[in-house]
Amino acid sequence: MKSPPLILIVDDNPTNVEIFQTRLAANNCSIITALDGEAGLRMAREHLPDLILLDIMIPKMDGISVCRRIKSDTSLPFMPIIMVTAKSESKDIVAGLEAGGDEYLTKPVDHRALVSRVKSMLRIKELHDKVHEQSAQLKFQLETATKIQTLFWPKIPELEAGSRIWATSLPAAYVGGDFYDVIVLPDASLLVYVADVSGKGVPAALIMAALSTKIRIEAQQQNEIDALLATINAGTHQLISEEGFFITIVLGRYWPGTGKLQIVLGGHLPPLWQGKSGAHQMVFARGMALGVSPDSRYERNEIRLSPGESILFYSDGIVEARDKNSELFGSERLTNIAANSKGPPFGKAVLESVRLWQEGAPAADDQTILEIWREEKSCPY
Amino acid sequence: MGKRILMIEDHEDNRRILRDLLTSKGYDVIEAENGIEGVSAAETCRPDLILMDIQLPGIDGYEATRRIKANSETRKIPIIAVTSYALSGDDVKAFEAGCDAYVAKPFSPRDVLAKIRDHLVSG
Repeated sequence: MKSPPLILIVDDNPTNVEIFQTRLAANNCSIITALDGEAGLRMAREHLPDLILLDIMIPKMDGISVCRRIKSDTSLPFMPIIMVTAKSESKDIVAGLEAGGDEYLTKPVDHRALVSRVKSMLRIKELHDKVHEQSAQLKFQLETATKIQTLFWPKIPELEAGSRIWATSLPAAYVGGDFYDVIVLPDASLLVYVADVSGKGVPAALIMAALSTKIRIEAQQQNEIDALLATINAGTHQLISEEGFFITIVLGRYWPGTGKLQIVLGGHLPPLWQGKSGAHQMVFARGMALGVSPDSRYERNEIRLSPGESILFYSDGIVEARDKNSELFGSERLTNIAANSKGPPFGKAVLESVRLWQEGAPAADDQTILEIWREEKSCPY
Repeated sequence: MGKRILMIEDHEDNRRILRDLLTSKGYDVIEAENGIEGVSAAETCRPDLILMDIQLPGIDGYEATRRIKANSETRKIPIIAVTSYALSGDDVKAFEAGCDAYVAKPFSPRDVLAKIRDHLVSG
C-alpha cells in the first residue's frame, strides 16, 4: 500500500467530489479524481489506487461496469471498491456487490460513516498486500528448494555388459518426498533405491535429504542390503517416527557384469520384473516401512537379469495416479505396459501413459521411477 | 471338489497374488497368517498341500513344518517351503525341517504351479 494511501474518487458531481476530498485529505489520504466512468477506469489502471470510491450513476460508463472491469482484470492488484449510490436504489447496492464491489455508501453520505468505511477498507487492503507479499516470498523459497533438491539426484554411471539404469522423479508439489539414488560400492556393484516419505512438500523433502545422506554413509560400511536397511531403520527410526512420518523403500544391489540383483522391501510396492516369460505380479519377501518399529528385520530377494530383461522400481504415485473421473491407474495397467512392450526399457512409456491417464487432473502424489535393464545382445554379422 | 491348498503367509498382498492364481486354477484355498494358525488349520482342515512361508511372526515356518510333520495325522501332507533367499542355506534348513520342496522369493505364482501339481500327484 502506498504511503499516504491513494484514493480515487469517481463522481460526476463536483460538489460531492469536493466534500469527499476535504474529508479524506483531513485523514491523511492522497486523492485523485475522475468525473466519468471511462476516466475512472483509465485512472484506476494508471495509478493503481489503494481504494476507489465509485458512484454508480455516472456518464460514459456506469459504476457497475467500471467495477466489473476492474475486478475481472487479473493483471491488476487488489483494489477495494466502495460503491456510492442513492439511498432509494437498493437494487443498485446488490448489483454493485455482485459486480465485485467490496462495500457501499448511500447518499446523502454520512461523513463519519465515510471515514470509518474508508479506514476499514484500507486495513483490508493492507492485510491483502501483506499476504500477497508473503506468498510471493514463499513461492520464491519453494522454487529455490526445488532447484536445490535436483542437486540430490545422482549422476548415473556408465555400466558394463549392456546394463543400463534410468531414473526420474516428478514432485507433485514444488519439492517432493520421493527420492532415488544410485551409489557405486567398492566392489563395483551398485546400490539403488526408490523411497517415499509419507507427506509432501518441505518437511518431506528435509527428511529425504537426511535419509539420503545417511544411506550414502552407511552404504560404505555395510554392503549386505538386508542388514543395511535394518541399520538405517534403527538409526533413523526415532527422527522419522517422532515427527509422525514413515518412509517406504525398495532397495537393490546390482552387479552390472552378471545381472545379479538383490532386493529388500521396506513397506514399499514390489518392483515389476519384465522377464523372458513376460511381466506379472510376483511374490516378494517384504518388510516394514522405516519409522514403524526400531527393530524391523528385512529379507533379501534375489533375481538375475538376463539380456533383454528389465526391472522397474516405482513409487505409489505411479499406480495411484487418478484420471479426471478419479479412477486409479492401477498395477494391472502398469503390468500390461511392460507385457506389451517389445523390450526394455519401458519406464519412459510408463511415465507417458500415466501422464496421459491423469490429463486434466492434478498429480496428487510424487511419481518416481528407476529402471534397470540389460540390452539384448545383437548379432554383429 | 478341487484339491485343497493351505497357504501360510503373513503378507496380505502376497496372499492375494497366490489366491488369485490358485483359485483361478480350480484349487480350494485356505489361508493362515502365522505359524500357530497354520499348524492348527493343517489339523482341522486336512489340506492336500501346504505352501509354507518361512519368515513368519511367532513360530517360523521351520518350526511350523516340524510340528505338522510330527503329527501322524498331518505328516503326509506335502509342504512346499517359501524361502526368501535360497543361497543362504534356507533350502537345506527347509528340507531338514521336513519340507518336501522349496521355492525362493521372489517367484511368479505361475512358477509354483508345476511344483504344486507334482506334489499333489505324488502325494
